[in-house]
Amino acid sequence: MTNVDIKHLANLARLELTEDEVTAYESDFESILEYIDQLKDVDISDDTPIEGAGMRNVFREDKDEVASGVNKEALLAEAPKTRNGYIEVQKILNTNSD
Amino acid sequence: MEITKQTIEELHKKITAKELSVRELVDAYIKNISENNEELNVYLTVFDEAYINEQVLMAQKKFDDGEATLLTGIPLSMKDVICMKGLRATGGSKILENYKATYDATVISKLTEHTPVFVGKTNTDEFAQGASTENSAYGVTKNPHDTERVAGGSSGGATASVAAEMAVAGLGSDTGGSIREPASFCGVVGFKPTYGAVSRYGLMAMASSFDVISPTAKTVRDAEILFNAIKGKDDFDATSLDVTKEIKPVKKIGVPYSFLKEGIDEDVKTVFDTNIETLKKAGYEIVDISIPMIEKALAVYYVLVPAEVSSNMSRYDGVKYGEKIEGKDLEDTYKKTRGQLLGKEVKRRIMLGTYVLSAGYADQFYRNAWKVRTKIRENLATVFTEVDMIAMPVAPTPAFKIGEKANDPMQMYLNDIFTVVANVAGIPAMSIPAGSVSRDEKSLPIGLQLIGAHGEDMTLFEVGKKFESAL
Repeated sequence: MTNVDIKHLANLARLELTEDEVTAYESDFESILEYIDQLKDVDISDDTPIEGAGMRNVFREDKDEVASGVNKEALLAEAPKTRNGYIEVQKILNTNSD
Repeated sequence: MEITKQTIEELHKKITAKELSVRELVDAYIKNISENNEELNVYLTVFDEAYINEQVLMAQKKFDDGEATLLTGIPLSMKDVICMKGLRATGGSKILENYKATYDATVISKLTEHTPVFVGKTNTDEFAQGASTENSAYGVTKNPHDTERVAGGSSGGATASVAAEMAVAGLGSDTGGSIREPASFCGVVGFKPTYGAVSRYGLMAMASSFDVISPTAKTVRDAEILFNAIKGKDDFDATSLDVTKEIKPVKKIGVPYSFLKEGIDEDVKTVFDTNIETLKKAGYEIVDISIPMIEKALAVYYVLVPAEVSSNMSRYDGVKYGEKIEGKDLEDTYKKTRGQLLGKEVKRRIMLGTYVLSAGYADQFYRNAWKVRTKIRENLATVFTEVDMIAMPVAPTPAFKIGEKANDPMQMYLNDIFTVVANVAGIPAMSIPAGSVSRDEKSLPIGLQLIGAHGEDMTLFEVGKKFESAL
């Protein structure tokens, strides 16, 4: 239960942390994981559904209630970087084959 | 009586009888806001004069034309996780510091039909994650009853806005007690509806199978008026439902005494015992109940909520909207933006969620927590065949001091022990002002929590009103 690799989790979750943060989270996790570990001992049958809360997969027809493009300008205005009506991002694929 | 102490119905009557104008009413509240907001930090945004004036004129016209409803002209506060088109919505986070919402939440569209006067957006723990507003990127909201103490959270701004008479009523949200605990700390009513009874469209998502938009007000009746205006199925939220049933007669109220033995402040327990006597005098039969697995509800909550948080927070990436810190490549931009602009608790929950959902742990934690959640729901359904309602304290303590629990997340989480049950089960619950305790020569309010069966929101209001008038 101990030795949770905070740096690995932060990397998976795309969070840059300082060394001080890593140390603090390590100790937080110890007490939190110790607490939630009590779920391990609950006697629950294997057929207890995990889909609860009165919820099922809910589908509906996509009726095109909103015409295409009507919100474009308002949405783009909130993006940090745009160019010619598109959101601008840094390149995703690294062209070097290393 | 002072204008700012009156209920929605009293104000409505006065404006209808032309004893009071919408302008006078709103000015009285604006005065309180301008005098107290700097000290209490209740509002993150107070709307500008022009926008408020426009709403005042429209509301007064509705009264003059004989078209006013109960909420017309009533000054309301909105928690800053609720989107209002064209207006700043921070969610209490640095990452949305300059974000303007691009659409109205369904609750805003529904309220707008009544022409209330929205006065501003209230402080919250970052993306509603916390129990004290100490996780807000914009500073803590101070408790109007003792400014050295927290107002509670995450809807601490919402409940303080009502307690400090800076709004007649307001909307917050409740994922694990976020309207009820601050309502108890601030001495106002906080009502968490049945899950799905109010559309979540336009509410910044925290944990989607738990979140409910929730009213806070001076009285149970005021909270009911707000709830009636915002409830109902909505095409924009597939989990919304028309769930609220007719009022049913209530005879038996259950108290899970064995669950209340430990971890509760002695004075809070005394207030609760007095409240039980009040309920008895009001004609209710009190039944000692046990709810199997109720003691696991908090562990279930702190597995499932971080899991949903880790997924919901992935939208804050510095690309589509919000602030951005550019790195050397896209991945580095994600990491810098999220690492530097999200706060300590949000990052903690994202990583906790990532952990409980990761291969090898998902069965042990996530799936098991869902199974226990299902069991708790079933157990509660059985309990509600034996009693009509459940009474419990809201929080184990009165409002705590600012900083007292800020560095111990597990202590902060334990504060939710009595409130998470209703969210785990998706059932309605309410905190009603029920007494006070003395700390440092100051009187601090304490709430009583009433919990109803699924869809019994209206019945909860009835019992709440009876308790309120029996006090």
